[in-house]
Amino acid sequence: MMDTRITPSIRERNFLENINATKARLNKAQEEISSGKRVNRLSDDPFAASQASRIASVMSANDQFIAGNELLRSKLELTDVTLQSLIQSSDSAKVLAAQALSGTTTPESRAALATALDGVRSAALSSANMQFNGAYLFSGTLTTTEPFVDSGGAVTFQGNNDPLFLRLDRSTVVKSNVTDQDLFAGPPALFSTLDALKTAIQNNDTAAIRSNLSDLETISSRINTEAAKVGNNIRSVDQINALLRDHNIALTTESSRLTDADLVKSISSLNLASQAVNVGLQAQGQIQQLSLIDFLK
Amino acid sequence: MQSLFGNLEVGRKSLLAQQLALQVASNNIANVNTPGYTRQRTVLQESLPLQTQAGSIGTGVDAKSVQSARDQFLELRLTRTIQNSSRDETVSGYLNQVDSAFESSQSGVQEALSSFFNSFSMLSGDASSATMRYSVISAAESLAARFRGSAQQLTTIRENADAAVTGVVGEINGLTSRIAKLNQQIEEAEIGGNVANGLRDERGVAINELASLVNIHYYEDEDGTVSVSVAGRGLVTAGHAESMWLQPAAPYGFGQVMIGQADVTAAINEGKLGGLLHIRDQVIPAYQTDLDTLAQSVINQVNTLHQGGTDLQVPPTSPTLDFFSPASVPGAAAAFSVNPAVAADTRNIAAGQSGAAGDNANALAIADLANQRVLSGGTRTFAEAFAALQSRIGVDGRAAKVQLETTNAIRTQLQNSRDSVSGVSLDEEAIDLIRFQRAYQASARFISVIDQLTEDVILTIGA
Repeated sequence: MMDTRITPSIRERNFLENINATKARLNKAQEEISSGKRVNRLSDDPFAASQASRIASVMSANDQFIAGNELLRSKLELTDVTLQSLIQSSDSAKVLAAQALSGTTTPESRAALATALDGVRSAALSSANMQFNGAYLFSGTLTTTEPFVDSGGAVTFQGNNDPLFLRLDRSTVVKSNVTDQDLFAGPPALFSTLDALKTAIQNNDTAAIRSNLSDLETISSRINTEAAKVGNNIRSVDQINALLRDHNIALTTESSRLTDADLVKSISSLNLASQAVNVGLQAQGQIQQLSLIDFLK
Repeated sequence: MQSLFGNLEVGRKSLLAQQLALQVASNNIANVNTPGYTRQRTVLQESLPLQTQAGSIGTGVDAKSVQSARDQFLELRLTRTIQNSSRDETVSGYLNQVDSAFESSQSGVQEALSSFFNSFSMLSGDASSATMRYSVISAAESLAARFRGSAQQLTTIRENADAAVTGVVGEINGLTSRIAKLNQQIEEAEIGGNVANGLRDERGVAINELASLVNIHYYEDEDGTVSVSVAGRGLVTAGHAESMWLQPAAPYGFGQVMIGQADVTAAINEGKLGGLLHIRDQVIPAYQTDLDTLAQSVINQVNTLHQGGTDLQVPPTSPTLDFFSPASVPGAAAAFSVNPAVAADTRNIAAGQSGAAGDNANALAIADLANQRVLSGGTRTFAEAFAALQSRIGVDGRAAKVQLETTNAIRTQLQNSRDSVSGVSLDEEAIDLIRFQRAYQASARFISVIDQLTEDVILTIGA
């Protein structure tokens, strides 16, 4: 049997192939170390790259939900504060009604009570027209229309009772606004009750005062119920934001697991590859001298 | 009966033969690095013996011929592998470009899709806010720009491939004319029965170069000329080369490859040209379709919902405007744009369904589109469809790389095998040098011995 002939061209070709392959590994390891990523191209790991792409889109959506929820939380907090002040107004009106029922009132003191009630009414009106970022809280979807207008001694409602739903995350939708129907419209309606109470105090109509007082109780408890709902929504927002943040942490970990370089591994393969290149080049230098031609005199 | 002078003739023939063999060996050494060079061997043969009463006596040596050490079968396989590896190299190179264009941090489509739907989500938080409305327009503009950018990248890569097709066809024509000319020269040189080894080597190199460009079939005729054909159409026949040319075809003006009046585009599937056509006519168009389908779906779905809403104009625009400029699937990504009327006046965004300033029902519905599986028969969201396209590009790129590594390994193996048969080994040539030098010296010595004998005879008789 004849031995395989090894010509210089074969030796050189094999050497080049091998050194190129080693240098490609060296290059890959360098790229991993400098970028910190194992997947720098879609073709490096198509599955991981496309997973990472989807994860990035989910994370971006989560971030946006979180930002939206922060904004909603501010709005809900303002709503809560406003509802508390409405409850205070209602409580103040009740105190004034109780004073009017004490039996020792004079026309002067009743006039003073009526004036005090005006103050309560205007505070309530101002709360009812509260705005968040330029949008009215209690005008339904007509957020640019001032909802409660005092005209001719009576407060009329200009807004609507449409709910404003908001998405807190992919699956949770909440009603983000409290409407006139929920709070003021009644019956008994807040502003007409206040107006009726004032008239009753002025007229010293104790029966009417009593009935208005009981209406105010109903109104207070109605506002309290809504305030509790708002408080619940605030807690939902907090819970969902916490979940979204946890989800993003998990996704970051997953994305990093999919695409990040294992630096220890990358560095050790860099070392291996660079050693291989060194040794390969040295060996080739020595082999080059092995030819019969060199030994002939 | 051998005479003394007859012996001189034996010496002379030996000197000539050894000298020729030395020349061949030195030519081999000189061509050790010449691409495509096939090592040559001097074929020595014993001269016709003389019949004597004592039996037959040799009359020395003849240099019968100089042969190239060629393995036709290996050469053919090598040609085929060169076609494969050159195609794979081309495909892999172009896919690399697509890969980097669609890598997440580069393309930005995925991010822009999220931002766009999120901007509607934010708008739903405060539908009357002009600021939020501007963010929606700006996110939409950026989404449109990302789609257009990605579409442009694909178009550019496709056009580059087309430009390269033109270049390669030029190269092919150059090579076929060269092969035709070499055919002529070989035919002329070999009329006397010689073998034109050098010219054949040169033609072999040209054929391999041609094979790296396009899938060819070739065979050698009895007269020593080579016929080359592509898809059954003759490119080279003896001394004649048929031109390959490009016929521009609608709709992009990309050239169809023609030989004579025949369109051979579909049959070209190997070599650099095969790779370029594969990229230009199949790979990129498939990606374009995917991207266009996604773009058209985004445009269409958003528009449908948008039209179901009510904008903030007084009275509300009826019918409600399109949000994006409508587009049909082919070219949808390249034409992706926000309806200029909506971009110009943010009140034209239909965030609500009732006309109330704060109504956010429609904005919510549009934001929710991001999570709807509206593509691929209701199985994929927009983000998933884009990730699927990325995955497709990645898988194609990876497959091409692996394929290229495999064909390159086979190519190297075959080149090594070919060199093992046809390449010049310096050790071998060095041994030949010693062998033939020694034989030459011995023959010269032999002549000198005969000379001595002749002298002896002349002196003895003359004395």
